[in-house]
Amino acid sequence: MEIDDELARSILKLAKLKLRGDEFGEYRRRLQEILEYVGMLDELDLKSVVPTACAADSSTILRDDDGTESSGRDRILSNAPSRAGAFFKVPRIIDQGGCP
Amino acid sequence: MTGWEMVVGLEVHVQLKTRTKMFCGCENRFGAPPNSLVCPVCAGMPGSLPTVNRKAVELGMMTGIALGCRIASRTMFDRKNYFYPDLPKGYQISQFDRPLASGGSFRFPFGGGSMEASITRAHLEEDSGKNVHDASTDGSFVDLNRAGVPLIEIVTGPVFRSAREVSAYLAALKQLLQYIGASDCNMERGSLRCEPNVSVRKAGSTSLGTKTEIKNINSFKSVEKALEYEFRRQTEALESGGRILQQTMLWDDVAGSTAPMRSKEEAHDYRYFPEPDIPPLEIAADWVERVRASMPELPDARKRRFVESFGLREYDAAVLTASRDFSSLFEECARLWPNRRRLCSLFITDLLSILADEKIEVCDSRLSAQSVASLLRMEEEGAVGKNQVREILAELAKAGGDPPAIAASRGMVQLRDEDEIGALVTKAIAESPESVADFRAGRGKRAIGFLMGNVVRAMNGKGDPKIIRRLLVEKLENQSRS
Repeated sequence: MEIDDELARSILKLAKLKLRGDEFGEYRRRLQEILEYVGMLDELDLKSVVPTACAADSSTILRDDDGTESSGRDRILSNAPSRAGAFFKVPRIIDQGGCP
Repeated sequence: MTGWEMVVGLEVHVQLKTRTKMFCGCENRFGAPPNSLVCPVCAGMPGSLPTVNRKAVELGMMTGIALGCRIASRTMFDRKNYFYPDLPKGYQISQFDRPLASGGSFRFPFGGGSMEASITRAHLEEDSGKNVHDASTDGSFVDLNRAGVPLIEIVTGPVFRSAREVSAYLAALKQLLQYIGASDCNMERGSLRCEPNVSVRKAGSTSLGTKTEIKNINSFKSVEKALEYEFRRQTEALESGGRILQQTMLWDDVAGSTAPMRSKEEAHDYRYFPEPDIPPLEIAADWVERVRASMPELPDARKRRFVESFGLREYDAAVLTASRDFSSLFEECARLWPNRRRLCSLFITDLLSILADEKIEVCDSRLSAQSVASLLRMEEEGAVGKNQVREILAELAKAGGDPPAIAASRGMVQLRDEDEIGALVTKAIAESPESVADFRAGRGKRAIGFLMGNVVRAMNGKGDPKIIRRLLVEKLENQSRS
């Protein structure tokens, strides 16, 4: 897979990153190198191997539906860059449709 | 707009009725003060780790089973990446290619018959927080109480051809999920949200047109309106030579129209990848069986049983089983009161409208099977009439209590003194010679109806109708003979 300028720009946009002009070429090249490195795996014959999503081979541990204390509003909001009363404050959102 | 056909598939998000959130122990509760039900996990603090709520998985399994799905023996969580202020982690934990349940079908009543919807999948995920907008300020506000609340997303194939079919499906789905206790499905509070995918095509065509997705529909009433608007918009665009863009439309309930969501120029690219903090979840067959065995009776089965074991008509059984609580109360009463027909009419004619008028939910009402049976016994013994039964029933629903005591406190006890009633009956007959003539001419029903009304009124509704009727018939027959 080739990371061309267009794909690199799209990734930047999705990740909401801004790079200077000279950084752009550098990161495009590094991304390409990473893919090529991982691409070594393609040389292996893995047809009979079940895809792995996690190094742990046990099933996930489940939690009982019992409550724990929430942190309290002030502690949670104390980490926010900006707050307004009981809420986190963020730059004005134009669309009101929730998640995309 | 003839010649066009609507094609709709549905994504329905349902909040699961757990005590705590999907991946942390914060309470899952609507209406708490903003940001009071938040911890480092659901606020997306670095280093916090999610742990899966077993109850949410089991409610999801129940949903899948009730919709005829296969439950995966191994299911996985994935990160769905996008940026929005109500999503603190910058990704939503969802399920991508290994959903909890898939490949089901759901049969629901439609237009006197029934219809089947194919269920593509049902998967678990977490809800986002809530953005609050205030026109008077320069910013927007975020409340994370809802962030991390467990959701199940139920996806159908493109199976619906009209807005009415969609409504019928949603009503049946809501009933089902309430029965199994998976969700309260309150659309106004956002615990059930539906996002239709809509396209149009020429009638008879088998290919699918370009679809749009409608968001922001927040009442059952709006679903049909939004679908019909979007159908009209698409067909008009195509008929005037335009084309449909694959995009997300926002429904505006006040304007009654849809408009494209502005921030969506970028194509969907969520870059799903396996959630590294949650190992895959193995679901053993015996766990599925335990969950299946613990499931309550589903609405359709209960309806059939009511028809078969109580001898009720299909329609009555459907009305009685519309809600689980209502039908359970009926069933408890039926154990104590053998006259199911009277019980059925009491529930459908009286109780339903009392609950609707007083805005009482069955589970909040103070009714008990014992008090309903005691009330019907009073009626059978002639101690109270039909109107009084309804009045006492309303009081039982609102405040509970003992039917004989309620009747006594309201001065309702029926007059059954035959001498007193007999005197009024004689007087009514004397005042109405035309009724006597009717009776003689074979129009007894009319004569008795008229005279009954007069005697009941003369006694302010407190006379026992059975005694009044019997004395009327006796006296009219005596007069006819003489």
